[in-house]
Amino acid sequence: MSHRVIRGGAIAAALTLTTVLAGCTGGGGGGETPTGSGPIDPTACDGVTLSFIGLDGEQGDKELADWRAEHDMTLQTTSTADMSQLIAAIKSGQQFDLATMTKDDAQRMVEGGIFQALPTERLGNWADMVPGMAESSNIRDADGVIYGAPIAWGDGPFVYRPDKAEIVDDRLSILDLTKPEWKDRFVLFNSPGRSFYFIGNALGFDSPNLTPEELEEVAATAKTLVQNAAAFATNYQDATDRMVSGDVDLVINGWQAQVAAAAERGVTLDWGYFDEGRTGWWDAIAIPTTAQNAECAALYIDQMIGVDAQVQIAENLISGVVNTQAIEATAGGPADVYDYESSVMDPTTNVFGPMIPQEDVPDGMTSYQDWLDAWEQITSGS
Amino acid sequence: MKPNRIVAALQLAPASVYYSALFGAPLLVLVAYSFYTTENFDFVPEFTLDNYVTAWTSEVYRTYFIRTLRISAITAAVIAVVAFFYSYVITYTLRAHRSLLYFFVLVSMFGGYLVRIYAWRSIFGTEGIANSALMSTGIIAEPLDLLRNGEFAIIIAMINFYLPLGILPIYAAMQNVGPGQIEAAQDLGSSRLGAAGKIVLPLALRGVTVAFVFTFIATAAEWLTPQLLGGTEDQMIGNRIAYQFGAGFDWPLGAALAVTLVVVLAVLLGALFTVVRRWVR
Amino acid sequence: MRRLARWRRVPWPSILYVGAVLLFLFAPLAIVVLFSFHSSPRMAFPFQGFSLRWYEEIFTDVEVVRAMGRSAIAAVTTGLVTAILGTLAGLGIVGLSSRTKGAVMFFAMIPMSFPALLFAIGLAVYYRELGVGFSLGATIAGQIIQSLPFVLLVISATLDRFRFSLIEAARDLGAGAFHAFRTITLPIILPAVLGSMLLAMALSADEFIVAFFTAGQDKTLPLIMYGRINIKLDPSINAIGTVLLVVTSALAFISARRTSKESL
Repeated sequence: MSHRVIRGGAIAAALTLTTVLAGCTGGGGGGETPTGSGPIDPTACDGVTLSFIGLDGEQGDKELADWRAEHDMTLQTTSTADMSQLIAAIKSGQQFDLATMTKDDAQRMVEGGIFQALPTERLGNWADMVPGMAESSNIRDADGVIYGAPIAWGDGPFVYRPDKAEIVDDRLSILDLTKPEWKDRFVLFNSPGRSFYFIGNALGFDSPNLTPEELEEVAATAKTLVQNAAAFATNYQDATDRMVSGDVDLVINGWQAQVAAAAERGVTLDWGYFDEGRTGWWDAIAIPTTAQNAECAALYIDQMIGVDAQVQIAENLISGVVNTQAIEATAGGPADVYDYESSVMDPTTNVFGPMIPQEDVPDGMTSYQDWLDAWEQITSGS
Repeated sequence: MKPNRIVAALQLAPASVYYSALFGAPLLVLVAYSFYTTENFDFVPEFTLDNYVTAWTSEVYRTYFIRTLRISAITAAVIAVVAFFYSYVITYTLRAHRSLLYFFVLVSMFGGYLVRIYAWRSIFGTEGIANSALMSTGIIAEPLDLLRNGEFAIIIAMINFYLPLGILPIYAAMQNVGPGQIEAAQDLGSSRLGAAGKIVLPLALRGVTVAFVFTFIATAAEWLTPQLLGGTEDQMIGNRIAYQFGAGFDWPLGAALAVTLVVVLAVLLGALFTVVRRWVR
Repeated sequence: MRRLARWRRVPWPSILYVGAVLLFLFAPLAIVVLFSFHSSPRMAFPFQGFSLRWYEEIFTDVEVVRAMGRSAIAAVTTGLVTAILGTLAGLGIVGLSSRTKGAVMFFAMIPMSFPALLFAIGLAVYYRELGVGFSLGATIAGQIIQSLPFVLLVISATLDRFRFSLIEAARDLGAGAFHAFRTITLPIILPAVLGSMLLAMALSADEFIVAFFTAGQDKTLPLIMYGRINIKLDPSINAIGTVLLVVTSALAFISARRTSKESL
């Protein structure tokens, strides 16, 4: 075969590809959006198959099993704890009807356009949503449109091994962790939010509103914190595993469920709060733009925030409930570790307030992108 | 056109077609993305070189690239050396058992990538096997920070996972050098090791180079191992690329970083191949 | 005396070296297998006793069993298709001039250096635009691309030093092209083909990223495993890994025996 023939073949192949690619522009989405008005038809899910992507255990697999059977409905789960993978999967056009939306990434997920608006006025159980969640700016875009329904929450303690780390009264300052005695003894998540928020407060600034100069100061302290940390935890399970195996003694952003998970493995954990405040977490369910069954998805979300499902979810996840009518029922159960009054019942407390700069940044203040850039600089080790 | 050229073309055709359709096209999609503009988390087909400017000039990414290349080069070099001697020993010294010893290497590739990473944690951990063994024999008094030296743990775990990949091409190449040739060299006064160096190495050099290239490339694109075994300052370029495609919401930059990685690897390894070819000649 | 001489002839340094390498290769696998029998949900020492609870858990989980079936299909298909495409292409490359050969090999190696995550995303976007949807077949198609370069490189490294005069001699003696291939070329390359086929199977059985983005609802074993790690990190993933190890090594053993009978 002569070179000319090979070259000819290559050109032909390239032309074919170009033709194929010409069809590749545009496209995107193509999903269905909820169309009706008024309450959602209770039969919207009959015979439907919904697909969910996100945190396994937060899709109502057990909690809504009976409800699904009643409606002859099927739920398919694609499990991932990595929000980056979840975002990429939806962005690349995979079809999902439901997806996890975590508090820390919620703003970017919403602005990134991977979710469609949630018709909360059509959800029968939305009226009972705890005010701290219902009024949260994190579930909204800049215009106030709501995109996700929180289904579980916690108040974001640090979790530690009391047999290895003595912490008086379960109180600690984030600055303590930058000291040599904590070198390589704790893990944190690979995201600037909590660290910058706490450090900003510790340095006397008004987190998350930081000027560029303040951010620089915060970043310098955060660099010591990151260098002092043993590693990044990829998720709560990973952090628990590292504490159980004795590699680290503390995780900065923890969850009370870790205590139960560690107890099962014969290790005692405890939790406490930083002097610089509490930053709660919540996980929500939202409807991706690629959804095929948005009506049913909305109905399913409504079930997830209903009293029955909430009580069970709280027990299974050791989380707080989002339905005011469900709070009573969790008393005395395994999830009875949260103080509702000081966290979710009063929307003015800071537990679920913005921990990171919101999309409409006040003049002269740093944006979340600035935070991310500073974080990338810190973690590059350069 | 000679008949054997036609045969060659026919033999190459199925793989080429398959390759163009399922790799060439998706790759072009991503290369196209690397020239897109990101606006409000959206990727607009508006030509720009900004992503490449960022990828090539940012000090942050340079740090990631250099660290990645260093970790991969160390891993690949260790693998090439260990794999060469393993292949040599099983092919010539323990010739009677070579199939079995090769088979063991193949089998070790299975068993799950992620589960293995967790297994390394129970080996390297503060209360892990390595430390327990060293402490109970009295070699050390305090647990060593094996796992905390993140780069060490990453490299060991990657050598472990990719070593079979290195042995495969070297062993395959050595099967063409008969033991007779080595004996002949020894008869002429070479030592055993001398025979390995003089006769086998040049003939198996292609295999050794392939082993190095295999493992260098495969490890340079790693991201799970550094994420799970590395410390806070041991993340590799693969971690940043993964981030840009997800929560970073910047596919164009992620694509530009990936294309850059491919180009850097191609240049480095192309140079290596040229040097090796000259040396053999 | 004679026994002592024989003792001396035993290549101890070689045996020690091979032993050390194998010990290193199998150390993490031994841990994986050991903890799959752990009675406690903890995957760390001290070891608290044996139990089959994790095996019971995975084999009674319909989702896991189904995923095992899909992964088996994916591994076998990927292995076979890759071996055929790779062997053919490897034979073709040998016949090219060295410059063309270099160029072809260069392009063939790109998939290895391309981060799997990006390839997976590119493939997903491409499938969406083609409208073929996401399925096990879509995943297998992508996994073949990932293992093809490895197979190709191993086979061409083997063929590189192959003396073609042998084939020409056989042809001169009147052997047909196919006969010459079967009796001379095939036996020489068979170990390499088989080894690389197993490699392709291993890569497929363990592959996560392409499957995550293209399998749709046809979840493979790694997808289930990675999913489990999010909610409960317990030895059931070790049990899955052990099953994978046992099944594939049995497969490898059978094919290795077949090859050695035919070629060695």
